[in-house]
Amino acid sequence: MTEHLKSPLEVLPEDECWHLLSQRTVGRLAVVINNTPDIFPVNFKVWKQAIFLQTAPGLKLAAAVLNPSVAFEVDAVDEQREVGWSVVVRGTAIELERLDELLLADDLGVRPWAAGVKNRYLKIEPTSVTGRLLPGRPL
Amino acid sequence: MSAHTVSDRISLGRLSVQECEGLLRRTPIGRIGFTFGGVQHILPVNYRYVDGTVVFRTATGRKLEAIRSEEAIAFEVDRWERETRTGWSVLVVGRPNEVVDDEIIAGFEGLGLRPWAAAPDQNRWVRISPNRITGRRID
Repeated sequence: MTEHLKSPLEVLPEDECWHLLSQRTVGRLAVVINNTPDIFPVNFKVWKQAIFLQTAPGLKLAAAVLNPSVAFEVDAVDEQREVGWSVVVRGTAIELERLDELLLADDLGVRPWAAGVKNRYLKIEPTSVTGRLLPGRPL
Repeated sequence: MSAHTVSDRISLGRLSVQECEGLLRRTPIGRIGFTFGGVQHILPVNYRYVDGTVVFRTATGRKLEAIRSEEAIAFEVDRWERETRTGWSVLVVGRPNEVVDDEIIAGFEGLGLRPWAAAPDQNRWVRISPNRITGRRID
């Protein structure tokens, strides 16, 4: 479905994607609310090939995130040389309610993007992970 | 529709439109978010903020067609500093249009927005006219 948006040369294998994700702490969620697209950064942690993140309640975005499918993107770009990579995880975002999962998220050290009184922990269970190198300048 | 519907009031953590525009002018890489085939896509692009619009290059193909078919796409830039745990995020939501006017494109050529080295066929220009620009400081 998404294969035709990238050329084969740029594609990263999935284990490399997870390796790259584990090196970063900030990613971005892409959601659609009332037919309007939105992208916002979140802190995240990877654990057993799922994405754990925290977001403040009351945001329309929190509701949008809990819709069936979200896209979560992480990248690292060298702005001088314009080289880098981008990984997109697609999947289902669920709110953590079980105590063992909440403790896990807390143990992972997931921190809110912005301080809030009561934040929700979310977990994204991936249905697809795709990574690509960004076609920057040669070294 | 007015160009900017966001309030210019500066509240805690929120960036004014002027601050957002200043950041947009100084940051070379952002991410576009759009829907294609029912799936969310986010990918980094080289861009310039010109005359209140976000301008970027892309190649002919399905990605361009997907972008052109959208009424509104999202464009986001952010910066996060791990050590100080501070950062900011700016979101632009607006209508994308392919620019085909030769005079305008000639003007774009002076922006220093070259195609990425491994994607020399990025010879199409897209401009996002913002419906809204919002930003927040994160700490």
